[in-house]
Amino acid sequence: MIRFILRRLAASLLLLYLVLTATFFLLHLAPGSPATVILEDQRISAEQRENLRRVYGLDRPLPVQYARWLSAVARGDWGTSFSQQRPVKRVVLDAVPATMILAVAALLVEQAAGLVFGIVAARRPGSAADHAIRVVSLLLFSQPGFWLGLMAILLFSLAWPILPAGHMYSVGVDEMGSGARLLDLLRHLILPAVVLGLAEAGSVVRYVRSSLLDVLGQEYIRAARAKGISERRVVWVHALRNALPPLIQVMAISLISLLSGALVMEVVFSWPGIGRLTFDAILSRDYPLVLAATAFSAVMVLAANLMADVLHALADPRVRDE
Amino acid sequence: MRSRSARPLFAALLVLFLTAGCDGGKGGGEDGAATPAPRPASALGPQRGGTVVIGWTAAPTGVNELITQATAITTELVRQLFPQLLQEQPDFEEHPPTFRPLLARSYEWSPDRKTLTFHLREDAVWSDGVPVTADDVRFTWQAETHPDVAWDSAYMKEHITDVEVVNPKTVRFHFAKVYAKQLEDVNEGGILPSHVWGKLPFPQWRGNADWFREHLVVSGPFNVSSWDPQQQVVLVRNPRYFEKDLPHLDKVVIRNVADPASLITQLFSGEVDFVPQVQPSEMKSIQEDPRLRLIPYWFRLYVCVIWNERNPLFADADVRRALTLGIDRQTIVDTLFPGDIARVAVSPIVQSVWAFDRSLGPLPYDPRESRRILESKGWKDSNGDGILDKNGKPFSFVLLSNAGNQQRNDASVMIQEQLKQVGIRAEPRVVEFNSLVNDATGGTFDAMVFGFTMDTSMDLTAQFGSDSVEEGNFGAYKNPEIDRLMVEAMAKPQAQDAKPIFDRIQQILHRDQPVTLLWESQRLSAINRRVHDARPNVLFSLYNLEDWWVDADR
Amino acid sequence: MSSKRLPGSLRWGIGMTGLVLLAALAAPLLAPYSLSEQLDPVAARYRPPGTVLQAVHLADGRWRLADRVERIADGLEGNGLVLERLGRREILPEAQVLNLTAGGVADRRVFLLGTDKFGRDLWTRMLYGARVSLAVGMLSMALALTLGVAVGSAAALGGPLADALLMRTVDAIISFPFLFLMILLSALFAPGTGAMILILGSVTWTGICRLTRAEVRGLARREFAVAARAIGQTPIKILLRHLLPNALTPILIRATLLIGNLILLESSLSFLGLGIQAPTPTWGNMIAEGREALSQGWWIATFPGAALAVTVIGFNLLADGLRDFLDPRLDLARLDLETRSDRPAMLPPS
Repeated sequence: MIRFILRRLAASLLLLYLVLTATFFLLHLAPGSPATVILEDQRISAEQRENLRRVYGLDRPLPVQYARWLSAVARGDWGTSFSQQRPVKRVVLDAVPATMILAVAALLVEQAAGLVFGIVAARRPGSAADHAIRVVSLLLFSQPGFWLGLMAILLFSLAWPILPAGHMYSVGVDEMGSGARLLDLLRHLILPAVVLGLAEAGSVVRYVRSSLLDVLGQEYIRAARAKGISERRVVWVHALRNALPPLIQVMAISLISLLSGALVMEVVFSWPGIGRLTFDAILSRDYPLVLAATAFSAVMVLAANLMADVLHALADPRVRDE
Repeated sequence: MRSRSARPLFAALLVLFLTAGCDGGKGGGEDGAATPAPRPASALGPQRGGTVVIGWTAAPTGVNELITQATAITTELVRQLFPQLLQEQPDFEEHPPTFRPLLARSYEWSPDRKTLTFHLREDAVWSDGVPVTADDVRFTWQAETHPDVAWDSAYMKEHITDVEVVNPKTVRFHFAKVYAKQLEDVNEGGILPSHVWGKLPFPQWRGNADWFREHLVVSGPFNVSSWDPQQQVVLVRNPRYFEKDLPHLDKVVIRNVADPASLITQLFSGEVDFVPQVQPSEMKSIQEDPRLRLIPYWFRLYVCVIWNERNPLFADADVRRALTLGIDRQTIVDTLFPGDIARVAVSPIVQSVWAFDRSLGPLPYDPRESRRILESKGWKDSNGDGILDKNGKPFSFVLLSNAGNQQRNDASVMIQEQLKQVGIRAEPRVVEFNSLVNDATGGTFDAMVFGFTMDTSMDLTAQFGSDSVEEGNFGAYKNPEIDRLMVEAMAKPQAQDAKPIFDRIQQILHRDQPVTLLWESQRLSAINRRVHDARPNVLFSLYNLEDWWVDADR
Repeated sequence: MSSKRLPGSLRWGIGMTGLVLLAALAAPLLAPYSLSEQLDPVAARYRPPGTVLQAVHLADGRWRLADRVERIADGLEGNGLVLERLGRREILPEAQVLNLTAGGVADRRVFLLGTDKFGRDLWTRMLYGARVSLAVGMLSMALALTLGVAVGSAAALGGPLADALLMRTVDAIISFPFLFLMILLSALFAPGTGAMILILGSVTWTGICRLTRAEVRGLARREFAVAARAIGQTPIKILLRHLLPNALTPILIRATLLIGNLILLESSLSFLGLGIQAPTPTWGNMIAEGREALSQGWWIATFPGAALAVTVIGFNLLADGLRDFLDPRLDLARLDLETRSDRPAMLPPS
């Protein structure tokens, strides 16, 4: 087992290196550079542009730049953001908590809704409730996320103003006590987390339903029922215990995909996460920032795969020998 | 929820939770209460206190404008922290701009105009109590021109040879030559604190944006109290500001809302008080909302189609004129802009400005004449496909515009359809801004829709000078007469004397059509009526932020 | 469930997707006007569904669209036409109007679903937009399917080295930041439909690849495959004759689900401004455009949005239906969840 994990880990690191290298060279291939960003009412003279290139270290040949960047990264130095003129590590780390909070909240909504509705549907297969649940989850699943987000804002912030229209905190947040601050954060979190979570809950509903139905058809369930155990216990204790474990693997994957940046939701809800950060950085050709944010995302995805593989291997020993 | 008795508790918590935000923060539409009827401007005059929230679609990049990207919001913010020596007045439309004393209380020229002396205000101090002195001015100039600091606008200071400290409150600028923009160039950039920022050697400035924030002292009306640019930056009143009763506001919050649609939503919900730039499509909704006020003003931006003269299609001025005749600019303006907020541009000097040549009018839309000119140059539709061709090559090109600017994208779609009637195939293509700029400076494009903000000193060299091909004259228009005239105009110490020269320049450009001018438009700002005395203008949206005040009940 | 009757979900799925496909294919026949026609943008913009305008063809080649026209005889200027347009009355002399008839003018424009900001017919644009959106969805899926099955089969049958190499490549592709690639590519060349299909197809094949590999491996161990190998049949033949046909069902269903995902992906990219650009209509960029003008013309975003929803629901139902019909024991839920890993990193599930 250990050897399996180590092999996978080594493969992941190699992949990370490959992805970063590819990103580096592709980035520099893109037309435009940080020094050519002219704003409409300002002009940079040719000398100024050359000077900026020198200051950013862009005047060296590309392989040299690559080598310098790589060796710096090996030392843990991810460089300075061109647009913000501060260490890239700090810029990225500033955005991580926001992304984490949204990702975890959305995951909770997704799993909770999935569980509840999946169980309800499984307990009465073929009923009106079952059909209704399946139709609604199909509908939710088939919409583009930005559309759901927009509708949610229209409904709950404009037509019926009970929730904020975006952002992570209200304006006067620094004057609030920590309890009020937490409440404020939660209020801002509701819409994006619910929209993001519900959009994906359909899959979980279906999974729980089918998994539970499978388990409920098993021998030991019938035995338990014959023994006189209440239906509720049968479902919640015996059946779920066997239906749920594979869900953990799925949760892991879900979480990581949410973490690597729900860009569209971040834009609609003005959520200050990693997705938007990367998007803006690419547009302004902030090379060090793009590379660091990409690395973060790549690490998340690789971690997810690694975790999923390990969990899979734990469950199914045949996989370990591959 | 398992047990039934949990439900009332849950409901109570829910209610509590949803209404919790009512007292915290600024209020506005969050509590769902009906908005009070709009009240007339208070007869009592400015009230002291209150908070205003300003919404912007970009995040400020830092407090040190010399090292961070000088985006619009960053410049506006920094201006509130670090005033300049003089404040440029937004009166450049009537005559060359005048300057009002700010950090400097007066200034005088030497007879040969090669020396400019400023006398600083006696009462100007930094927020830590240290007086603002001539050393700060000299220090600022050194920072601005240092190669390791690499300030974008350092070229503006290139004719200043030295900044001399005469005494703590008197500073003297020495010039290498005399020209029209001397005062503007000197004035560019806020004055920085030498006693604090001088502690960091210039070579270490880049990369240390956080250090400047941590060691921030200001001389302007506001100081920074919290900094989270992706969300909001909070400014608070600087009690040591030299204008004794200003600013009125306690707090100004600059809130970053990336998505323009969300920004408008927050304006309507009351979470944001002021949006500096609103889309024309929102104009009607804002005008119909009694809580909001629309502030339009003519902006010094003009949008045009740049023809790349390196492409043989566009090398001939007559052909370019034919192209202009084939584009129905009035219909484009009428379609893209509601009401009267835009008009067809006639000259690169916008019409609301003193130097505009009033004898000029826009070329008409005349597709027949356009076709006639093209046919006289040998363009015929020899294969019946509806597109003109010559020597086997069709009159076809790619028209670029940048992503993120809806009007320009829309204009290129309309131009495509209009030119089709004349027999020209224009293929609109939307590309990312950075990429567009790259093509522009490299000259690797056919035609592009681009916007230029006019210089307040009417200097057109960047857009039409033969040497400015990478700066703004992307189409490589070369006319030595224009070059000569521009130099002559800019050398006049009194800009008004150059009016006849400006007229001549505009007439030549009108004849040559190096670019096809499309429109000039008003900028639309929107503000909540609870905020009074806000006067955004073409120079700054937050121009007189220190004068803004809000009703006393907040 | 009798195997003779098609299950309800399949019928609905086929019905909905069939309808949309038919409309897309027949677009030139069904569309009343040309795609880029902007006869009179100022008068025709933001008109609600059901607007009918009279089209006056002027002598100088231009058109005027009016709410009403009236023929006048012996007026102050002789015979002519009175137009009501933009809230004003215009009088045109007879000589200036090319398409006069006894009662008015010979041409008119009927805007079934309303007009957009340029006065273009929304119904026409939706039909052509269906073509693009469906083409992108289905052709990208075809590409992804081909790549996925090919690589998956190769990995399953090619021996441990090939397997490791190929699967690590798959991992690399999944880890690569897709958004970054999209922005980069739209900077290098504004992606047209073809380029978009290539890009989307070459990034979303990994899920099918993994599925194919798992299925083929499973099947390769079964007796009939072992027997075939023993007889001496080449692996390719075994693959094509025996293995793939049996593995077809889950792969097919997965591919069908993928179409819906791809269509959603395309619309998300358009929302961000990265997808296929105007003036080429796609439902995604029509929704994005319409979103800007929600207060002036709710129909511009709503109808393409509804069409998008119907199409994606249709494909999802089709997948459901195929499962119900072909192999009811198949765990669609697991398939469904795995499909989510088709959506590459840096773009959200929706």
